[in-house]
Amino acid sequence: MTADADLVEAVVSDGDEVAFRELYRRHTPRLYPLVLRLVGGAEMDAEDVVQEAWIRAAAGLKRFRGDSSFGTWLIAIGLNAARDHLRRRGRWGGMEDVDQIEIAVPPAMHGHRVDLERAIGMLPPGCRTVLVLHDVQGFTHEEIARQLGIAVGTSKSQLFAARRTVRGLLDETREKTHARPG
Amino acid sequence: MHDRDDELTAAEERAYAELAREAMPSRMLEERVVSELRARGVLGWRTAQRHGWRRLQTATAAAASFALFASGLAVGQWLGARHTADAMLKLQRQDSATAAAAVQRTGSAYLSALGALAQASSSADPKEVARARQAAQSVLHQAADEMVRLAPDDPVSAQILKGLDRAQVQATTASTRPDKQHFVWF
Repeated sequence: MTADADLVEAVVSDGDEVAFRELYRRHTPRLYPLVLRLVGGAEMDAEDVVQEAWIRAAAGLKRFRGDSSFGTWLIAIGLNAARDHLRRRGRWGGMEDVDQIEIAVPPAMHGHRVDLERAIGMLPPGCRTVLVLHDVQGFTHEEIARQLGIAVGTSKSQLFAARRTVRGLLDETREKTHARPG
Repeated sequence: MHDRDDELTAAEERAYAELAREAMPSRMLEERVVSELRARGVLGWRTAQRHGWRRLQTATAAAASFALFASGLAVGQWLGARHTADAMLKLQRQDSATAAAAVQRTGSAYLSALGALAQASSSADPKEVARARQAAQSVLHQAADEMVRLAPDDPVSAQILKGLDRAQVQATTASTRPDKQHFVWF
């Protein structure tokens, strides 16, 4: 299998479309679910963000020095693209006040059990991003703090609030489902 | 339920671990991305160069084909022209043969007419005979003139022409002007 660095070199030096498609197919499967969760599960928004991430990545390939893996570099670009996307939609206001986070289960979902994926999607964007990066992607708080430009303590408090909220959503719908007559 | 609110339970860890880490978006997205990068000149410029080279090769091949076609056409026209020239030459040869035959026929007719005139001269109107004789002389003079043009080195034709010219000069100096000429050319 051709190394990522060689594919990058082919794209940079020759505009090699085949090499780019190889990079795309190799790394998009990990980028897309992350972006999909960051934007709250909206597939069309997620595709727009993935497209934007690849365009930024392709434009910045000359700056990719291979200090980190290409996948990690791309994830960072995707994360920034997702935040910019949410910001343009007025849905990114930075990190939420952890004491103010209250998620109510929509009436349409009453009687239906909310799965973990759905519960993550219902979180406010700030704490959702921290939870996804930490509990799903495996980032450390230091890495999250560096990526998002926040303090490590902020990352931890956001994660705490996110987990608590998710539990609440799962427990609430679980109880309502069990209590449902018939 | 949770001893430490900031730690995941084993069940939660399993639930998070079971979340999909990999998923491919629609195939259309790849085409959208590639198309956008092509439009921005990031991708495909080497391919475009290859296509440019291919276009040049195609143009050259087309030009060569056209040149070959034009050459074939020119050769065909030249061969056709050669056939035309041959046909014209044949026609000219035919015309020459026709002209030679016409000379023979009219020469014979001329001599026949003069012979008939000689036989009828004793009983015919002298003025008519004189007019016919003058016409015959004139035709003979012009025929000698054409013969000299036809074959300048032919001594017989030259001598006939000189003799006729000399006779005409003598006739003029004798002040015996002929009557008004009434030639009927054919």
